[in-house]
Amino acid sequence: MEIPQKLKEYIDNNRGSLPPITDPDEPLQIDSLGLIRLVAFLESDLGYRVEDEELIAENFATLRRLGELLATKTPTAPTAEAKASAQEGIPTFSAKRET
Amino acid sequence: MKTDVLIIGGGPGGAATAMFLVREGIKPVILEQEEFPRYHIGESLTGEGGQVLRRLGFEGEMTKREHPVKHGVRVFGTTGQNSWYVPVSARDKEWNLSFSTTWQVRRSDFDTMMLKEAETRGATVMRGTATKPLLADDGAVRGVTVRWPDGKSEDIETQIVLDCSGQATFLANQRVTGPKYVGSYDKQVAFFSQVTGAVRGPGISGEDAKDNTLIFYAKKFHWAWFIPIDGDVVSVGMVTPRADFLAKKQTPEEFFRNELYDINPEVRKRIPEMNLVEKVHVIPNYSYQVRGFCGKGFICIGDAHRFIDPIFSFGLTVTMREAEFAAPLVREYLEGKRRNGDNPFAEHQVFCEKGIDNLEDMIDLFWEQPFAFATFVYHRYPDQLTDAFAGRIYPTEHQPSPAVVAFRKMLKRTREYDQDVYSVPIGSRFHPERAALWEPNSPVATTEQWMGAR
Repeated sequence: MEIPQKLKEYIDNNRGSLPPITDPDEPLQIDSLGLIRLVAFLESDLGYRVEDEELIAENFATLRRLGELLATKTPTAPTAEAKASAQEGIPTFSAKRET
Repeated sequence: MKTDVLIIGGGPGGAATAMFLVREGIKPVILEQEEFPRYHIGESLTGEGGQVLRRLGFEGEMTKREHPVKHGVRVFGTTGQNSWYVPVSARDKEWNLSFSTTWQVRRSDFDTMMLKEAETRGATVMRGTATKPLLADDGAVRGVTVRWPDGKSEDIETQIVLDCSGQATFLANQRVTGPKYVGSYDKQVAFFSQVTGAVRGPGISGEDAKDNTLIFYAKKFHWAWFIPIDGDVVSVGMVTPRADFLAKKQTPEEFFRNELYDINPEVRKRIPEMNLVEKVHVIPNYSYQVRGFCGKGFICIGDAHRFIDPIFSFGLTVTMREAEFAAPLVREYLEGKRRNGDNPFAEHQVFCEKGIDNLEDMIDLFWEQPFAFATFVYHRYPDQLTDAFAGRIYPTEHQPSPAVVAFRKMLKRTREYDQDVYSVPIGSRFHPERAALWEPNSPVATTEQWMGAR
């Protein structure tokens, strides 16, 4: 499974000071909150739907594992609503701010 | 002595029950064995807990007493580098979501305020210890034997006993209820104290609000809490597996002081010095569930029938909500309704079970699959999870929500509600689903054995 260029760039840009990944079996070294943002990026920006059952850290451990996960999927158009959530990087509640 | 309604326990469950009963025109007797004020753990309210206090008319008093205002809960991940935040929220009648606030409380002060106010509003508070239930021929509870502080005993005859005895689980221990099952979080020990000089958030609202609850996650079953209880003092607790504590052969205070900083790097930043201003308390094996907790002449409320895990501070909220639900049913019972059948409060029992089952599924998923859980909170079901964190967990509150449905799917769990009130609950570690959690060298093989002869 070919990793989409946008995804490879996203991962390389979200590993702190670590250099870009060259080995598909190299651990991504993205912490748990980073992985949540990665899921949001996959769903909102790339249009992949990650099933609840697939939300285990092992599926996101290396580029190879991630590629295997995405190989089972067909991306659809990203939704505008979800896009906002991923960009802000914080949970998007529909609630109004307290006054 | 005779009274229509006897409440066992004068904590917030008993006091709230009494105040809701007074609204129904009933003046109960509250039996409390301890002199208030007294120390108690369980210092944080969720959003709906705050709403119960507002409905009881306490908003002004809570503000006047300067109880810390909680805007939300911040959970720090293992490295302390990242956190996720769940705001306290409310729903209006049209189910529109809004951000809200609730309170943190020093329990000695709060519980005293609640009990005194219950008395002011018409309840009678008596110092004494319930020692034995009085049962009618058909098994209905018709009162309790009480031992007064002078050592003398007396029977109090009542139409109904409301067990608000907390983790003492009076009626369950007396085998009036169905079995009391060991829960699945019975292998942890909580150590807790209070500190001064802790570093709170810099803000006045939202994620950085100074009086928010902080949770420091380490790994499965290892975590710590940080709950401001007044302007100076913060309640700090740590939960670890019991085996870790036993292996170190230290006193609880030594263990607490030595291990707290290892939970998460953020702990040291928040608590630069361990100025303990309260002794280190310990509660082991806190997880349990009582089956058949309502029946003829009795209802168990709050911790008197179930406690899962302290992680998300549901204790105070659940007990006060159950008090509110029970009060009109008690009035109807005294009016002579609901006297037929085995259990006059069967519907209430299932209603409460369903609510806490929703919580249990949430807590189980948090522990079993933290990454999936955080993704749900952060990305997938943020609104539904603010509902759950606020304590909107009951069937009348859009539950089970899509989030709870997803939890169950991931836990491969179905919930069924039938008339069998004695079966092993999912929350018991003796449930087949829990087999993997059994301790290999446990001296007790079955819940029945643990219960002893009935």
